[in-house]
Order: sequence, then C-alpha cells, then structure tokens
Amino acid sequence: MPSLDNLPPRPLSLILQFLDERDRLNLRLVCKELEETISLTDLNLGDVPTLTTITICSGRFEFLVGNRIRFYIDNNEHSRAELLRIRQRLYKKLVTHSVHLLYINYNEIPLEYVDSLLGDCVFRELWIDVERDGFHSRLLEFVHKYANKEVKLIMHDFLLVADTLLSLPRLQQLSVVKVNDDSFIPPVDDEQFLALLRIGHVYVDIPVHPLTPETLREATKIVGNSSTDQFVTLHVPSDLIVQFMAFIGLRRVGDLFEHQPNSDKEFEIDYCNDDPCDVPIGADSESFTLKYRKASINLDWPFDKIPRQITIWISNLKKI
Amino acid sequence: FLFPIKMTSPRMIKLTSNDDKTFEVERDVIKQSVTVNTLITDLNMDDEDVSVENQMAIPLPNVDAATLEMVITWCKQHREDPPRNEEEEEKKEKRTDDIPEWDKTFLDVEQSVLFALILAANYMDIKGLLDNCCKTVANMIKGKTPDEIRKHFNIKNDFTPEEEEQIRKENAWCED
Repeated sequence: MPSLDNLPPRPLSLILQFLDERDRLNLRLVCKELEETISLTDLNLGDVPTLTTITICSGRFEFLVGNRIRFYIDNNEHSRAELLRIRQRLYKKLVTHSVHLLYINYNEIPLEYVDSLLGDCVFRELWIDVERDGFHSRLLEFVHKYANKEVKLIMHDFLLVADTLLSLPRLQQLSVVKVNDDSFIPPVDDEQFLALLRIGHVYVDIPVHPLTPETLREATKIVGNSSTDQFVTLHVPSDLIVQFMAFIGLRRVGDLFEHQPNSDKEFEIDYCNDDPCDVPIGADSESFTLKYRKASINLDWPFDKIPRQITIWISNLKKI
Repeated sequence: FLFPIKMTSPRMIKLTSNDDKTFEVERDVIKQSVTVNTLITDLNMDDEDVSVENQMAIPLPNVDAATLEMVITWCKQHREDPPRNEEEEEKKEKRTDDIPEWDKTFLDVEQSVLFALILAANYMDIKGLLDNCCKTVANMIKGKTPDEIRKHFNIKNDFTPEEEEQIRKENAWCED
C-alpha cells in the first residue's frame, strides 16, 4: 500500500520542495526508509536568488545551503569528510540560483572536494572570489566546466597572467578587487585588454597599462558593436580623456562639442544626461554622454575640473 | 429540405489499468497526461480513421482501476485549465495555501488513496494533479515533529536509539 515512507525519490522531492529545510531534517528522523529516500531526493531552493555558499572565513569552513542548512566546521580534513558524508545523506541534487565560492584556498582544499560537496548541483550563477594564495591552476578547469553558466571570477589583490586570462571562456564578470592598498597588481597591456573585450566578457574591471586614446576608442567600438551586454570599468588619468576627445576629433566650442574635420562622426554627444546616478563632479561642471552606436561613456566637463584619476564606464547596457 | 448534419463526436481514447479494467476517455481530457499524450502521438493513435472499437487500449501497468478513475475525474474537472508553463511554475513561490477548493475536497481521501494518486500522477506525468497532491501531503507534514509525523502517517520508528541519536547529531550539525 503506498504511503509516505515508501514513496520513490521523485515524488518525495516534489513534496519536499513545498517544505522548509527543518521539515526535511525532521523527516530524516521518522524512519530508516525515509532517511534513505531523502538522501536520493532533490533539494530545490527554487529560482529565487538564494545563495549556496562555500566559504573559508577566519579559518572556519562554512557551507550554507539556502536559509536553514548551515554548516560551520573546523577547517580540517576530518571535519570536511564528515561534512561531505552528512551532506550526502541530506540530498542528492541541489537546485539553487547561485553558488558562491568565497576565499577557498584551492591549494589546501582540492577542487574535487568542492565539487563533491556541491554534488549534482543545478545552478545559474557561479561566483568565484579567490585570493592570490588560494589560486590553483585547476580552478581554470572548473571555470571551463561551468562555461555555460554565468561565471563571475573576482580576483582579490591579483590578476592572472594575460595568456591565462585570454584562455578563459566568456565570463559574466572578470574583475580585480584591490583589498590591500599596498598590493601591486601587474596590469594587462592594451592589446591584451582589447583581446579580452573581444571575447565578450560581460563585466570587466581589471587594471590596464598603458591606456592610450587609441585603446579607448577601440574599446568603445568593441562594446558599441557587441551583440551581447558589456560593461567595462576603467580607472584612467583625466589627461587621457582630454587626449581621447581630441583623438576622436571632438572639440569644445562654446557650450557644445563640435566634430573637427576628419573626426570619427560615429561618436556623438548626448547632452541630456538623465541618469540620476551620474551627478556632475562639481557645481560648475556638467555631465554629458559620449555615444558610439550602442556604447556610451558618461563624462564630465570641463576636464580641468575633474580629479587626476577617474573611473569611467563603457557600457552598452540599456539599464545599469 | 432537411440536410443531414454530420455530428462530430469527441475523439475517445481507451486506457487499461493494471487490474485489467478499460476506461474510455475523451482525447481532449487525457491530453493533460504527458505520458499518455506521448504514447498517443508515438503510436499514431490520432488517426481519424480508427474507430474507438478498433483502437488499441493504452496499458497503464502502474495504475489500478480505482486510482485511474479518480485521475480521469480530475482531468475532466481541469480540462479547461490553461496549459502550464513549467518555466513560470519553477519561478513561482512554492506555496501550499493555493490548492483550489474543488481539489481540496477531491483530495480529502484516505492517505493510501492520496499516495496512490501521487504515484499515478507521477507515472502519467500530470503536473497539476501531482502538484496539488504533493501540496496536500506537505501541509500534513509542515511544522510537525518527527514523532507527530509518525503518528499522522502511522509509521513505525525502526531506528535503534543509537541510530536516532546519530541522525539527531547530524541534524544539529546542519543548524549550528
């Protein structure tokens, strides 16, 4: 006679998706058969942006699945093995919106372990935040394995060498976060930078040197011609903006920018900057948008009023 | 002049349960079962020239007659439902308080019948029925302790005290 304790894994998974994790844990305690079947079920966290996070924080290993299943263990081999064993009793396949791998030292914790802990995991986004000491070349295989997902690779205080960067598949995010102000991060050169943009990474924020007006023009053209979303953050000296405007042949005459003879007419100025996020940098400055096809760069005038080092965004996103 | 009017009767499909009872059901009603629908298409049973008498019955070896009758009743009641968009369903919040009133009454049956319906809906791939059955069972489990779940579903605790203690420890680990 069919009953709760002899249901196959699939219908039980469907019942479990309407229950929270506490109910799942309580069901494990009902009888042996249910405990066994639960280990074969899916844990479906739905399509809401719920995170499944594996973190090493202050020496503690954290594995957080949704809101209720939270493991905080000592970061040693024995505890990690026990965590894996218990995880395998809780569910077989995890369905989650995002997986976030945060500050894992892949030289200490093998990627195979991380993969086993995730199990048969179905997800949309993969965030990898990694520090220089934690990076292992096998992480690149991992990135390639999940190339069909929205992979965000965030390097803390380091940048992979150009050849490695260029071997990466198209990513949702490729960025460097400078945590320690004193750290020196060797940049990519302008050619490597443009090659990276041509791969089509959606969000790019990495150090580039040297940056020339030619590079800036080419980067804007790549983004402007791209059939997919792109958003590029560049930290540039303000002098470069002056040179860039001259290079594309736009000169300020009175209240307006005018195209000079032989200028690139595809670059246009939009003075109606209604982006509420883009506030002019000073009371007597004004914001405008430089456009090239689908790409736009928000800038401020006059150039001599803006700080020496500024951040610009080249974007073809309709909404940021 | 009186012209003969050609009456088009609804197309019928024959289904046979695992206890050899055959049911005739409108094609339009049973389309909600993905399994049956696929079989009908694969076996070219939508061919207009074959009368129901000459038609092969579709065997459903995992469903008994009593359950199949209930499944057909449910499908008749929901024949006008708009087709489900599974992608949209996935995005929806997983609620259990939205079971339609008719289904609530229909599913107010003995547990063995409810679980038989779950197995049948799962086998016949009828998402709407399966969802509402699963929500009904989930409502019975929600917030109950293991002991209360055992009592409600008449399940015997077959863990040794040591095994039960081990699982309690594992559960506690998850929520540290």
